[in-house]
Parts: sequence; structure tokens; C-alpha cells
Amino acid sequence: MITDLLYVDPGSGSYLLQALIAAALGAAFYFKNGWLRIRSFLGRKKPGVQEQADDKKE
Amino acid sequence: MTKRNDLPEDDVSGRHPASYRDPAGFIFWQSGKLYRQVCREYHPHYRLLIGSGLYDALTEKGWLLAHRELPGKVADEPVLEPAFVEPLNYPYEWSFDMLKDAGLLTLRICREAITHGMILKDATAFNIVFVKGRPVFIDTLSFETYRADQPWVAYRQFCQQFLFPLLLARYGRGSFQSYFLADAEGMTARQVACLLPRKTLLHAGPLLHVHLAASVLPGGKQARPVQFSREKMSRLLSHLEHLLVRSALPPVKSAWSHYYSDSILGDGYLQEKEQALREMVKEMLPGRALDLGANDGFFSKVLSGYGWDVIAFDADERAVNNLYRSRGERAQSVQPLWMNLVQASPAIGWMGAERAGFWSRFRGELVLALALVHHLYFRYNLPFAQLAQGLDTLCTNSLVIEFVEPGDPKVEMLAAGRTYLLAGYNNEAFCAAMSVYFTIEETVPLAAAGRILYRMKKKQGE
Repeated sequence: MITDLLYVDPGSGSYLLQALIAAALGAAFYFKNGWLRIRSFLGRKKPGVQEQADDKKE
Repeated sequence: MTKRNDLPEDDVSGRHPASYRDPAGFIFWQSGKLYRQVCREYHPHYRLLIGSGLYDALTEKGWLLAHRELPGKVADEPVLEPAFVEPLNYPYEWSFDMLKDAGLLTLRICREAITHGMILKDATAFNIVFVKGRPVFIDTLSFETYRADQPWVAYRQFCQQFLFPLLLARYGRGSFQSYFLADAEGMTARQVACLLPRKTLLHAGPLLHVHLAASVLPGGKQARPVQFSREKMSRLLSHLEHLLVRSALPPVKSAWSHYYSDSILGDGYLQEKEQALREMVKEMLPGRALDLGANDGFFSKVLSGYGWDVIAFDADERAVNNLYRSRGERAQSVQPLWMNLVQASPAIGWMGAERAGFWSRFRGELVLALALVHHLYFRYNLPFAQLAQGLDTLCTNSLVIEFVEPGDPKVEMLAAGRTYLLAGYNNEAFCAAMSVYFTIEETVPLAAAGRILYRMKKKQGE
């Protein structure tokens, strides 16, 4: 298997780390969405207008 | 050992010395051409690269080096003939924004690959080469079949090769030229965590990818199987991309970053020098030019306007970065590279042959050395004889070189405290030393600044 090469160092620790980071980013995204929804409920701003940093591309 | 096309089985003579890390294939020389052998184990991945349309998508965008596929001697082991890139350049010769753009290209290629059912299996900065000021991914065999339940196999390597050196430079913790020369694989998260300032604990990027990583990696504990998903992968890649897009060098003015705009020498001198250079090169047949001490690349761009393919070297990273960022308004073929001539890139890697050094890698039909000689002479005590020898090594035909006379204010500034060097610094001694290797064909005094521009021709066949 190509993925088992030592030179790329699949490092099981790196897999765990990525899972932690992805979870943290997911939580941040969830809370940001929630916060935007509350703000929009209070009539301040429409959701999704700003700060879609996680979806920013190119 | 895997069989390869047209070469005796254990013959390594044609094999490129940099090509031993990846068992998916290797590159080799034959009859002066460079080829890439695909090994049998990797062949299914290679077929997917072509069959999924990923290869076409990437080459159309100019992101991946194109190749021509030739039939191998053995079934399922094709030989590829890549579009030739020469000379190569390496991360320790790039400026901040060049490394940043190389990292962004790696992430964008990874994203594109995922949409075609593949992923990057390695993410080293050495897989990217700058060609005429644009990053190009050159390792065709870096793709493998994507599995949505697996995290990114090259994540850690990506951090060590792009994110860490950019963060260290961003926070003023050393240049990444020395980072890559000290260890081509880069530093570990733990080493970087020690170097970064404490305030980076408050920023999501360094917190997650460096400080958290330093406490998790490398774990003594046996790792649990990790569940990953397409969505998590997308989020991870987006975050890395976001961090790179936002990274920038702190605004510090370096010695050379605004040399021309601030120079006491004024416009008259520059215009005169530009005019003299134009007169000298307009009849020449354009080819590869090396601009030594290019600064912001003003004269590199002049040459480019005449069709020259210019590699612009400077020892000041900011100046290199400014030139890199200023390219592209017109179709200018200028490739900036960071290089201090008195400690230029060494030959490095296995047997010193994996990555060639500056002195054996770069040659120019035209070499430009404007306002350079007095710096090498006074700052580094480089004698004219050795200067001439070095320029002879780099130059295959013409040399345009400027001599700054002893009375010049810049010379007096450089010579302060080294007045003993002034005795040997004069036009006659300079011309005598150069004449060992070159014939002086044209002498143009620049009246506005009391400097002299020479056009010389290399003495051939010695």
C-alpha cells in the first residue's frame, strides 16, 4: 500500500490531531452559525452575509 | 527491484540522484532527456489520475507539469516524459509570498484532486518549482485514491513545509531560507511551539496546528482508529487555506527594499543606465539571462522586454518578494530568487547530488552585474580576480557589468573603516582582472553618477 510509506510519515498522532482540529473547526462553525442566527432574530444582521470564513475559497 | 524502461536492472547511472524517496516511481536521464518511470504498484493510481480527468483539469490550469506518456518495456509500467523544467529552484531560494503561493497551490490541487476521487499523498515544498514567476507542481506521482474515512496523510508534512516556516517568518523568528537548508523536512510542531511567541496561543491557527499538535505529537500511546469524513477534510483544508491567505510579512523596511525609490542617486543616473543597457542588448539574440543583485528587478524587466528569460537574484528577501509581487502586470518573464552570492545555495542531499548548488545549476548567455562589484569588494573583501572567475563560471556569452569609481559616495560609505581596501580598488585593476576571462567590447561612462558600464564577451575555448 502506497499510504503505508514511512517517508510521508502517516503518523497516527497526526490522524488523531486532524480529528481534533476538524472537531474544533466544526464546533466553531456551529457556534458562529448559531450566533449569526440569534443576531438575525434580533434584527441586526442577516445570517450568512458576513464571516463565512470557513467557506472562503480562492 | 523494479524493472525500468531501457535501462539495465541495477544501473543507477541514469537515475536522478534526487529520486529515491518515492517507491511509486523515479526519474532518470537518458540521451540528455529526463523521464519518469511509473512503477507497477503505483500504476492503478496513475491510471485514475488520467482516467478521472484530474490530470487534464490540473494541467489546463497550469498547476501541474504536463507530460507525454510513452509505453514502458513492461506492461503497467509506463514511462512519462515531463515538459522540461530547467534549472530547478528550491524553497530556500524563495521569498515569503512565493512559499505562501506554493502552499496555496498545494491545497488547491488537493481540493481539486478530492473532487476527482484522489488526494495528495505528499505535500513537500520541493514538489513545486517556480517557472517564470509562477508555481508549478512537478511530481505527477503524488496522487493516490481518496478514501473519505481517512484523514489527510500529508497533513503533517504540509504543516512542516509551509505553515510552520511561514508562521516563524510572520512572527520574526528567523528566515525560512535557513529553515529549509538546516533540514529539508522542516521542524516538528514541538520545536516550532517553543520558538513562537506566547501570544500565538490566542490565535486559532497556531493554537490548533502548532501548540495542540505539539502536545499530541508524537504520541507514545497507540492511536485509536479515527473517523474522518469528506466534510471534515473540506473544513481542514479550508482552514489551512484561510491561514495561508491571511499570512503576510510584518511591514519592516529592509536595507534594499526601496533602494531605487529612495536612492540619492536620482532619476538621471537610472535613465542613463537604462538607455545604455537598452543600446547594448537590443542587437543581441535573447536567451537566458542572470541578473545578479537585481534588487526590485527594474533592469530584469528591461531585459524581459527584449525577450530575455531572466532569473533575477538578490540577497535581500524583501526586494525579492517585492519583485515577485510586482510581476505579471505585463507578460514579463522574470523569475526572482533569493540568493546571496557569497553564500549561495550549496549542493545538498544524498552524496551532495540530490539538489545542485547555485554555481553548477545556473548559467546565462547574458549575465547582468549592475552596481554589484563594489558591494562584493568592500563588504566581503572579494578580490577582482575571484569575481572575474565566478562571473566566468556563470556566463556563457555576454556580461554587462557596472564599475563604481573610487570617489563615489556609495563606495566611500562602504569603504568606511576599510580604507586599506581602497588601494587596490580602481578601474585599471578591475579591467585587468576581468580581461583574463572576458574581452571588453564596449565602455559607456554614466556621466550623471561617475560610474562606468561595460559590455564584455566571454573568451571562448580556454
